[in-house]
Amino acid sequence: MAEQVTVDVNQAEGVLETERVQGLEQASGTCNTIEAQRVEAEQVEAEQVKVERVEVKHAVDAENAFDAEEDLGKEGAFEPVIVGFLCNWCSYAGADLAGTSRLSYPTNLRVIRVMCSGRVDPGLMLEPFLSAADGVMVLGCHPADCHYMTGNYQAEQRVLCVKALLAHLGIASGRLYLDWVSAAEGARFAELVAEFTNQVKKLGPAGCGESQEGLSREEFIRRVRVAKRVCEKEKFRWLVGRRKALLEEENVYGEKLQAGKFNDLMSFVITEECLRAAIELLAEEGPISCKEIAEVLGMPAGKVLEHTAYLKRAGLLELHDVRGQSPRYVALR
Amino acid sequence: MQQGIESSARIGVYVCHCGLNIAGVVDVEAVRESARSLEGVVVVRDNRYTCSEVGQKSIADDIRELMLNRVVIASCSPRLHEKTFRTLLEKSGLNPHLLEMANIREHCSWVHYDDPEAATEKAKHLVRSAVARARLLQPLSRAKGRVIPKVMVVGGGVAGISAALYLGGMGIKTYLVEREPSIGGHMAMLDKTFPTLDCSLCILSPKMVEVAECENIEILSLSEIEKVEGQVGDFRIQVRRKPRYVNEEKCVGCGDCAAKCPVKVEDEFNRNMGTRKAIYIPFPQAIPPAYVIDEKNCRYFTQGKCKVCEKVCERGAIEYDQTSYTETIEVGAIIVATGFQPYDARGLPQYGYGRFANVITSLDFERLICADGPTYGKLKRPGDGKVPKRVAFIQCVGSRNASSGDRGYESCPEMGPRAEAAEPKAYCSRVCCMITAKQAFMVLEKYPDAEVYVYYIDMRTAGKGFEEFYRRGRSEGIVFLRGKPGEIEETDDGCLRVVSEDMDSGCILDLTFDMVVLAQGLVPPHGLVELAQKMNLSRSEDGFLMEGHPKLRPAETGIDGIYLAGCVQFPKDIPDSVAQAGAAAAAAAVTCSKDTIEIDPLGPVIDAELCIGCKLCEMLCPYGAIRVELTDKGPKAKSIEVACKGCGVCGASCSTKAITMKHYTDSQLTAQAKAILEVV
Ligand code: FES
Repeated sequence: MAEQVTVDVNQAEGVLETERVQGLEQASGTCNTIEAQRVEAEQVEAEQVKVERVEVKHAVDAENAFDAEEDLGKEGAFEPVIVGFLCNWCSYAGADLAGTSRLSYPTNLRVIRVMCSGRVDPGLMLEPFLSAADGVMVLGCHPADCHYMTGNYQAEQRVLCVKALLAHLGIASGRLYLDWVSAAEGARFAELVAEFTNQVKKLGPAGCGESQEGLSREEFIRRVRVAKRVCEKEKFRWLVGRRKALLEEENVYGEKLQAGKFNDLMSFVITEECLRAAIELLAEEGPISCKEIAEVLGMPAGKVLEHTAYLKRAGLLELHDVRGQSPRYVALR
Repeated sequence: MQQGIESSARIGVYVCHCGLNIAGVVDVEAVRESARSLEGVVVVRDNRYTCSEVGQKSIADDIRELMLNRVVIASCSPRLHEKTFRTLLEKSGLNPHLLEMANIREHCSWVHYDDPEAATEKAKHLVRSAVARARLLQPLSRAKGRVIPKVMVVGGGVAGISAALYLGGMGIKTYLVEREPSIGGHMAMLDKTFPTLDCSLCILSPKMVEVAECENIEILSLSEIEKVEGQVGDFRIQVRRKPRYVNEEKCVGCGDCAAKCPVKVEDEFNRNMGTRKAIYIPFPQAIPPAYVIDEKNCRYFTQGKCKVCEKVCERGAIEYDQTSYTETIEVGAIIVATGFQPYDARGLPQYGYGRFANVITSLDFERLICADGPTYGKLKRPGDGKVPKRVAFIQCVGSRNASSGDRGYESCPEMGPRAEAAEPKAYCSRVCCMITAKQAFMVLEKYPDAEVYVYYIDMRTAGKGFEEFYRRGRSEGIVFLRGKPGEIEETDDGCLRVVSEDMDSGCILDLTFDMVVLAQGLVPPHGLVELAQKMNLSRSEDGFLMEGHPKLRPAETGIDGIYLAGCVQFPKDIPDSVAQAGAAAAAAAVTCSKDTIEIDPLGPVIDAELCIGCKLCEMLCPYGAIRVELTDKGPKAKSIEVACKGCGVCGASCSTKAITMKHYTDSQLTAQAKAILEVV
């Protein structure tokens, strides 16, 4: 088992490393390919997005049929809090249009304006969950319409990856939502808000036994903090940033990465980084031994030991003292 | 350092009633009071209209007397008034970037009118969030960008021509880009204009000549926009110049070449009803007044031999070796005036356009009745050349078709999928009623004993002299029938049977006509989607380009330095197009009159300690505005400020979080996200 993991680590790091070196080499050529990439992206993305949207719609429809009526009528029914990050040029303007057209939509959404959906850092998507949010929306311009050409494509990559991260941690990925709204689509904006609000209602309050995840508030927060920490990790961020290029562009050898392979790589990185992040967070609270960490996280001690060693090498943990037989670590942050 | 600023923040919070627009739903006093205790807040006030002089003065006074260093305004969308209030701050001696707005109108009172309580709570949160952000705002200095005092007008119809003439007249160098061989647009195809019945080309042609003669205007015909870069004051536009194969300077338009050219093809200027040669001039008054070779049909280009035109051209103007090339042009402002295309009436097969020879559209009619047209002004029906005695006009073809539009299309599977331009539209195309009134009138004018019927839903004649014109038509015997025909059938002799319900009498009318004219609507021109993407312009739901503000900035767009004129914004008649062209030209001239333009300083801030030179930012930046350079501390990212537009992709992607964005810093956004959720 341990051996298997080591091999994987090497492989993954190998890919990352080659990736980076190639990146450095290719960098000079990148600008030229952006245009071509954009045109191609228009088609590919349009397809992908369509498929995704249809799925979301179906899911929501099905849920609507379920118990919408009952819930809405109930006194004190769960009213989710939703934070939306809207790009200034299309979706914020679309939301303004909903206003000028006096289209009523649920009051659950609170909007934060950013210049482009591409400004929304993976960590920022998770920030609201640490406070009272039950859902987060990222809205940008339609594919090929981004005011900055490609920002929305990056937003899409990030949301896809953060969703995978949430799912790994047992948090409903449906709490995070990405879509496109143009400046002319006031009505569509209002609809999306209503749909997403409903979707989050179905998921239940974030961090509450009755929610779909069935996590306590404390556990929910802990997991979100782990996710947020992972979003700060270089490896994760690099993969997110390169996802589109890796899947759509050929490398110098004329090869494209298969989606399946990328997902394997990503889930490997997520698994590793989640564990490391969890260890870091525990060690930030005070000195703790590997054994204790393993107990809290329900992980085999060997695995914890391995990652603790890694974190120590990376300068994130240091030895605090030795209690009894076991060394205790604290975070250096 | 940020700590320091935070603790010394002196914030004024102003909650706007906006008359009853906000106060009618949101409890403004409650919102005001909830902001009073927030950290750093020195003063809270509510104003009936914060943007009014009184409202602005109270802010200016507070800045001075209470030494405010941050201002939060809870009112309408920042997209509406951010500029207004930034200017106010600047005048009051504060850096304009120390302003933050909470949108409690468009995002709150106007959409939550049915739940005042929740709206008030939401407004409180939005204000908290704005205050949290304001605390962390940093003064920023704006970069100065250069202004190239030149303008590009895209589209050479009457709107583009007028805009170019205004600009040229002001002494501003103007490029008029037209994709066809000649400027003139649709107006050049019209026979007469309503309601004055002026000959269309007689009034347009002098303007076209003026354009050709104006030393400040350069016409780029047969040219299309390929790429647009840069920002207001400093655009770089790549224009694809297609070959004419005739030297514009040398050609004097004698026409010897066309006379001898052996190839005859359908003439698109005459709506394919007449013919022209493979070397041709679209219409006699064309500008530039030069012939053009249609390479798709030219025998030399298709079969490799002929060159008759070269032989007969005394001036040696024929140049078969011309090729297409791109030219980069720098301008300070752009006016988009690419007009419209007529609705493709084949999209409504129940009317038989394209199947029945004697069903024509209003634009076909213009060519048929024009003295320069294929029939030299005789109204002959295309099927058999007979002069029609009974003519019907059908209104709103492709317009005002919200739901019933698809009727009948499925029943004609042989027609294939409906083209974009054949998709019936929900909006009213605005000019068709008057076009029909004019054309009906023209039929009677030429053939006083003809019988003319008009099928309409409503007659919309809002305009100077329009209603009078329509009344005159009625009194001269044009029959107006309220009701849209369901279907047209062709009879054996090529006549057309039209069955409809007369809404006024309730009778079913079954009438037969010699010719039917469909008043086709106006739809967005082909290629507009791509052009909008190249320029980053938004389109409205109807597909036309979106204006900066529907009331107050009808000739502007969401992008500084790009303006709109004519039908590309929405269908309109000639005087309205010309008027808008004037507005667009004035706006473009204002831009060009400045020496420099202030550019929002929203670029990245790079922490060289954290940067590992991974180049992710460089790879993702759409503008090449961030580069990794070798420093003595190894490779480090460096921002190229003039190229940066401030989208923030680099900041949100940086693998080591070494980059944050000015004015949208990580800490500002995080603080906002926290405060917007704070449970009070
Ligand atoms: S500006 Fe809207 S997504 Fe980039």
